[in-house]
Amino acid sequence: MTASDRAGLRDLEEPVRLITARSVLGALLRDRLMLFPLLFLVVLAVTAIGADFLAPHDPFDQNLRLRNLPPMTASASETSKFPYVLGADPLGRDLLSRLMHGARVSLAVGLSSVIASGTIGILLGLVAGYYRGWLDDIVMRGVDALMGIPGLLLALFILYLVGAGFWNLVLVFALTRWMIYTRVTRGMTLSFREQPFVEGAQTIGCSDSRIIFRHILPNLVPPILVLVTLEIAIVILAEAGLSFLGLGIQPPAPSWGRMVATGRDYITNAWWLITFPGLAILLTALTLNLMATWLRTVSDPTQRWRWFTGRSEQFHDPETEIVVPRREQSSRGSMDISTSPPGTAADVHHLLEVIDLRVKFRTPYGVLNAVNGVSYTLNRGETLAILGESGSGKTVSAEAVMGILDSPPAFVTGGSVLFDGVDLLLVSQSRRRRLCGEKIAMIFQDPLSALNPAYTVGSQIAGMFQEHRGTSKREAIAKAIELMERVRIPSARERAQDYPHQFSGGMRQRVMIASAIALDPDVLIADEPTTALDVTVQAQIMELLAELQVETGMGLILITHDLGVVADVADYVAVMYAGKIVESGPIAEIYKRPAHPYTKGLLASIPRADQKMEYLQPISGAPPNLQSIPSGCPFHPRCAFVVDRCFVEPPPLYKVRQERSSSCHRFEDVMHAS
Amino acid sequence: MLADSNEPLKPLTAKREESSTEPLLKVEDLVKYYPLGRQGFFGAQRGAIKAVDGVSFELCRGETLGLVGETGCGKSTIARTLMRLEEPTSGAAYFKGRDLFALSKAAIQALRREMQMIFQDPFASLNPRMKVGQIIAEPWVVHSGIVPKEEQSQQVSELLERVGLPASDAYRFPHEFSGGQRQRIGIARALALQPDVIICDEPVSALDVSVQAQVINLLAELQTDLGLAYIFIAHDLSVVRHISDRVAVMHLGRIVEIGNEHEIYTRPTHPYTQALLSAVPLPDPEGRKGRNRIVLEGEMPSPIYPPSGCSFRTRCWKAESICSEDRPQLADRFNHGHPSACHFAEPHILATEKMAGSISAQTIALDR
Repeated sequence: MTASDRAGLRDLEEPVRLITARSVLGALLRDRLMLFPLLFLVVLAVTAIGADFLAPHDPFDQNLRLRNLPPMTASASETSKFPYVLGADPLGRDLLSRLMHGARVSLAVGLSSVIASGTIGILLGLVAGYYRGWLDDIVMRGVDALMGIPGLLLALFILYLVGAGFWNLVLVFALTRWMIYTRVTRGMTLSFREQPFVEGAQTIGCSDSRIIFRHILPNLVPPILVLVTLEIAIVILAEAGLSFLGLGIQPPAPSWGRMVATGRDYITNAWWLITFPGLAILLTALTLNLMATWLRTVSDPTQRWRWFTGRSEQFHDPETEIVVPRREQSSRGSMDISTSPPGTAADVHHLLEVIDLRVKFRTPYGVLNAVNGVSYTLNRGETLAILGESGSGKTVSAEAVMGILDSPPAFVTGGSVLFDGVDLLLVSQSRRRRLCGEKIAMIFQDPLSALNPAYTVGSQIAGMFQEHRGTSKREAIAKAIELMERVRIPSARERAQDYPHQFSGGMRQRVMIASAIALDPDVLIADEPTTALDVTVQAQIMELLAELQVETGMGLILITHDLGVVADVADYVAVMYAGKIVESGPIAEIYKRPAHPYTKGLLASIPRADQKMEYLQPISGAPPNLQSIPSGCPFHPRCAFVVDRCFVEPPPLYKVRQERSSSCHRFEDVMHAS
Repeated sequence: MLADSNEPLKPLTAKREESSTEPLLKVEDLVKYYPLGRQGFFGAQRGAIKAVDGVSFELCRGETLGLVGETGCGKSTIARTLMRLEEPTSGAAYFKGRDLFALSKAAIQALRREMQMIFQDPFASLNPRMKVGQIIAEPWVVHSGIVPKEEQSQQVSELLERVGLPASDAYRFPHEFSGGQRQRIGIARALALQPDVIICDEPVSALDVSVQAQVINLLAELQTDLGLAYIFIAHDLSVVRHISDRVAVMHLGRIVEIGNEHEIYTRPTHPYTQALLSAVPLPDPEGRKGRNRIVLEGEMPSPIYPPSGCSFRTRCWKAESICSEDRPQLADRFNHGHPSACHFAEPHILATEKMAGSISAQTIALDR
């Protein structure tokens, strides 16, 4: 299994919606903050296109009697019945009409330049990124060289050579702006060409041009769209600048830059001449930039929810109302069989007791029910395995216990986590953080991303002592080296000076374990600690964890999808499905005679290295969508034992026997079926 | 013969005739090095990652050869060079008698029809911007003359049903499917060209446990029905055992042991194979007390500077001085019909004989 399985979270964000023009437009219309910029752009576009009909006056029509007419003063002249709303310029031309026609020029320059430079830049980027080698070298060195010259200087030079004018301006922007597209496109093409779907296209025999234009280019559209939006703003500003310098659009054609240039001469006695075109430039650039930021967020499925969840009322849905994590004192008094942890009397004092824990994710597409009432207990020296597939809620429930849920979008909506009798969900943030670093520690599947690449591993482990114990640096480092020896990192003293990337996967996991056990935690939660490792290294790490547990007597929670890994070390197992524990109890009994059809199905469906099976008995269907978990028993659509009541009646956790429970209406039949 | 494009349409769902006893694919001394670039602009070549370092094997019609080994052993590189996604450094691969690596680009395109690949990551291996129907039909657009345009949608439906998906799925996008369903789509695309060989690179390792069996069973069914040959690459020894007829165990770019599934899993003779098999976790909590594990010390050596002689000797509890001087050749030392590359190969009968205990293995390793 790969890192793609940072169990749960990635899958919880499913379904990852595709970014299409329609979905972007839909989101745009729903989003109130974007309404103003959108409206402004529409007005601007309509103005630019329809300036001939919409402008109250002819932009070239001079009337020297109205020279520098202030806004809103003269109601009408003899030539036109329309008022001069924004006043008139030094030649008595209507400022509003000139602004409207200027919008056309600005937008035309912006769009044409972006189309020209974008086409050149994207094509070069695609070719350079796809073919690499000398072609890439030539293109990219060209880009580097051009990027080294100030764009304005280059533009001035070219304009000096070819002269001013609309098309020359477009030419200048095409020649000075294409490098941006090339850089972005090449970078993305480089990564896309390594994607399996591109390699898949190669293996079926697609030609290069087909791969470039059919497979790579369509996937570059969202980021390029963002870039184009930004570039239009930049070009509009640059055009204004060049026109201001007299090198852009030539008079009498109206252009915002030109108008600002004229206004500068009258800045003391006719403020409106420079203010209105200036405002037009400012607003347009601002709108386009806002648009680009919005597009960037919306077109990235992993970022999109941030945009939406910031304003929760848009997703207010009375049916799935989320209770913000304040709850009454734990529901221990009213525990019935469904919330009672397996096989324990409620008044026994446990090291860790999780009761009816619930976590929801608020996403743009609705609410994901990630954890729907999970209860378990852990005692000193015990190993509890939480077994489940991606999306079963096994990682999310552990993160909720640790208090490291990414919130938003995740919210704890109920339950309690009792550690040594204290409800962690009710204590203050700072106390909880202290408890969770010290008394409850966690290690993750991917140790590389859990370690800081900028610090040596020795100082990272030492940090635990400095932070929590106030130990001096020298002493902390000595302790860190001791710990590294304890997790059997060879030549620990020297290796403490190394950075995380200098360690192999297995050694990195040892470093993680060292820093997790640094403060002698009472509970260690290991989330898929060996999933990313090779089988021989996996065995080493599991052995280390088991030994450390014997040494320290800590409680160990092992989260995994691998039935084999669990079988080797766990005392108890809790099988999770769709955010619930469906079966729990001592591992040997459960593996021998499962009492839930899901557990039974899992055991029958996995191949074994120690025997050749003729046929695997798969579980039909796929794990449920957490947005719409099936009614009744969540497993019923895939269940071989399903009866009518499973469709409607959610099964409680039935007590199967001492220490064992199963949430299946027919657990007895399941156990007795061979 | 290669690319007989007049083949009728039916073989999509019909078993191919067995032609001869000659192996379908014969790989000889395949080598793939990734050069590391130069030290400075004019400096010397800095050496190379020896990803595949002289691998030979055969694949017969209708059989499955499993390739197992840990990360970096070169198993995926073999797949990629065979598919010509990478150019081999040296060696030959005869597919139906013709050397794959000596063929021109055009001849390769024709050959693509007969060798296909299924990828590991079901989320990244389908173009997110194409509909499932387009994805499956794309091979027919690229290779004209296999399925005429007017019959393509009909054939797409048949392929979808063949891999256990409803025909209506052709109009949906990949992101609407779960991992297992996507892998089925990948299989349907591979089948579209009616290949003889499918290289499966970790086809189920990214799937949920409860879904893996569905895909494994589908692959097995297709093999029986269509007479496909598979090269099945995986790190999961349980899955490989289940699906393979023969298994090759790789370590650092070389095959260290190869033989039929039963031989490798019940009588491994190479210490690396023995260590791998003993490390596989079994879903058997009751048996764990009696199991003795060989827990290897240390890490896989670097493929840039592999150890002299036997590449496994740095982690091997049997290693002696000869192991650093003389690289052991693949040889059938016990006439079990499965060669292994170890000077001190010994058959281990896993089912009955207990292995050298983990403690003794480690002690030996530490003493040295």
